[in-house]
Amino acid sequence: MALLPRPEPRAPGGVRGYDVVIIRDDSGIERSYTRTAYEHLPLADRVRPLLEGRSRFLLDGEEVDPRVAIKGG
Amino acid sequence: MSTADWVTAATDVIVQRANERLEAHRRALFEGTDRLFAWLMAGQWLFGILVAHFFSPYGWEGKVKTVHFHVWVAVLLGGALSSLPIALALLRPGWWVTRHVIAASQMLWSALLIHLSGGRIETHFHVFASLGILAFYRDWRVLGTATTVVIADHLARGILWPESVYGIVNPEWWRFLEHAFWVVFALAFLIWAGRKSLREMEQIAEGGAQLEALAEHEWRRTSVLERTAAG
Repeated sequence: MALLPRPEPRAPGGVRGYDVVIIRDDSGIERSYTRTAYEHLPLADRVRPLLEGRSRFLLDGEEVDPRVAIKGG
Repeated sequence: MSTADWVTAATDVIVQRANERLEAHRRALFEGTDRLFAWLMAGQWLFGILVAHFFSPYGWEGKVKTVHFHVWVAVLLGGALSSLPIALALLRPGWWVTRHVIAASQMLWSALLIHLSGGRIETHFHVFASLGILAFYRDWRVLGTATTVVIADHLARGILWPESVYGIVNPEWWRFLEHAFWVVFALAFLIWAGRKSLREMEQIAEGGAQLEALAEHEWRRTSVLERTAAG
């Protein structure tokens, strides 16, 4: 189980879809990213785990539907 | 095709489509702003002629109303300044050269209007308004071109013909630096806002790519489940 990074502060009045993303690699090890760190990954490194169903999105420690998380801005 | 091959191929296609969407969005932005400036260039030409006709005699010769030499300057020089950017905006919208020509011409329009108004300080506001409109491109290089032109103009005319740019014959030699400082001050914020806006455009394209990846994953998982149930 990955150690969750501290969530980033919520923007005043802003809508967040997620604050942490956990990606499981090929060997089963999970790596956690803050939203900022995740968004700085190359796009291909975000798309590939989504295609393989290896990404989980969290908001305030609760897992959220990836579609809702991404659309939620 | 193995699953790994499919994932690699799908990743490449989705990333490429995201890049194409972003590029299309930027191109539409460039073309739209080019068209906006085509109208603005035409409007400025008309405005310059009106300023030359109604204001220049007061600005430059006291309250004697004649058909001033500046009317011809506004018609001919203004026409020259507007015609190239209008032609490029209509014939080559979205081309990088077009927006740099527009930026340079827009700043030269500021210079001409400042001259026509006798170096009136209020006409210098045209520079800042122009930088704000040029920021619509969200391309800092365009703002760099504009800034270079306006600072070079102030420096050269400040030395050669100070009355034309400051309305007085003996300004301090460093006055252009004061004007340049405020231009750079505005520029810093415009560049920051432009980069932020560009990042938001990238995020929209990337969000679309990620949703596409999710849809592909869902479709593939559903297909496998259906095949398993059927088998």
